Amino acid sequence: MRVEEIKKLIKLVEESQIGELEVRRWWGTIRISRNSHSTAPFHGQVIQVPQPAVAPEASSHAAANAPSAKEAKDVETGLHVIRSPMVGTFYRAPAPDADPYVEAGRRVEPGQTVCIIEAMKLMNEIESEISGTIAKVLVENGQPVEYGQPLFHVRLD
Amino acid sequence: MNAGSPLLPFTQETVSAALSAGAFGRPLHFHSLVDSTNSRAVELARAGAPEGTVVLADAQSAGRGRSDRRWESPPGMGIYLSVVLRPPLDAERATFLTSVAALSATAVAGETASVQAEIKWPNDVLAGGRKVAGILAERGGSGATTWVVAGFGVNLNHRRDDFPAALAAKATSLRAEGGAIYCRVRFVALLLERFESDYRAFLEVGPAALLERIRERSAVLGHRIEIHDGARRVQGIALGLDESGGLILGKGKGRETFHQGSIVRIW
Repeated sequence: MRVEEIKKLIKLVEESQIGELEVRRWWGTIRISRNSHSTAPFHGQVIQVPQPAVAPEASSHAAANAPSAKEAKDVETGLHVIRSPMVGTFYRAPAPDADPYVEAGRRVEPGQTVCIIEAMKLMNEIESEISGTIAKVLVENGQPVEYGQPLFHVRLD
Repeated sequence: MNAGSPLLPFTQETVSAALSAGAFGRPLHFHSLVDSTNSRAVELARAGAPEGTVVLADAQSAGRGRSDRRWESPPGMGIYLSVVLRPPLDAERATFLTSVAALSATAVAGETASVQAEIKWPNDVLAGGRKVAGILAERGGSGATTWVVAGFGVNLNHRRDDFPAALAAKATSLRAEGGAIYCRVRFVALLLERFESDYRAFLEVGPAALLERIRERSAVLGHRIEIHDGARRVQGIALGLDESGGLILGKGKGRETFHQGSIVRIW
């Protein structure tokens, strides 16, 4: 769905008596609501009128109800685990002869690329969502990884 | 387009004028020489470029294939084009975009040169069993800043001896297969129009909108193949594509579906 289409839907809700409009697509659901507190359970994207905020990331089918599968804090050890958001091949560097994005002992900041996961030939840059220090790299370069598989341990600041 | 159509000069103006009414190609960043259209498009995407932004070059000094393999990109012969996309898809669902791009490129290549162009799962385009086009797709950012860059490299007007010796057995061009010189301006316009329409169909309906067309153009389905997934080399019969475009491989009585890996041999 294009941003223009979403804008049209928002306009539709604004100009009508509708309280809420839900549009389903194969990749997720967008709900446009006049009220900030909706009673119905919902795990997709919520767009509020009149101050819409559009987040293009659809809810993952496998993780819609779970905490972020990509990164989750391991409370017992105090280590943050960066997990693979998908099935694919793990690459530590942008090219075979390039330096790895991160090494153990290296600091990472939110938004910093830590590795690439390739699936169906799409090269996905995986970003850290937290700041800390890489404690351990858990997967070897070029190896297949599963959904949710731990990739890095990060010691939080 | 056919071999009799005139060859327009390859410039920002001619390409802009040839574009269909769609959004892809607006804006158009044309370079006579660039390091890599994908690298430039990634920079633009990170800086907030809108969906449909295109980087197009007559030649690349550091054209990239997958895993940073070099993509030969001399001037005057090929299409080197990268499109910025902003799909509302998570990482797993976005992986089908390489298949979308391969389908669009295969269809336009086949129609342009009246040759049988086929998809080597998931993202290479073959003609006469050799590679005539490749797709390099990259994805980054997060949340509202998520971007995808889909890069196309098409060997259009290369002669056979324009390819380095090491590539001669593996690479071909539409000219070598179809026997004519093709207008790059029209090819770009057709490719962008087709890719935009296939991309929209995918976003609306999902992979199901395109899977039948992808299967019809597959170079591997029904063949015995060998696939290398980083850890293993596996042989089997390519039986089909699953609902997300993964390759179903038959091995004896069992089967396994691949969402990663490269086909290293087709029998």
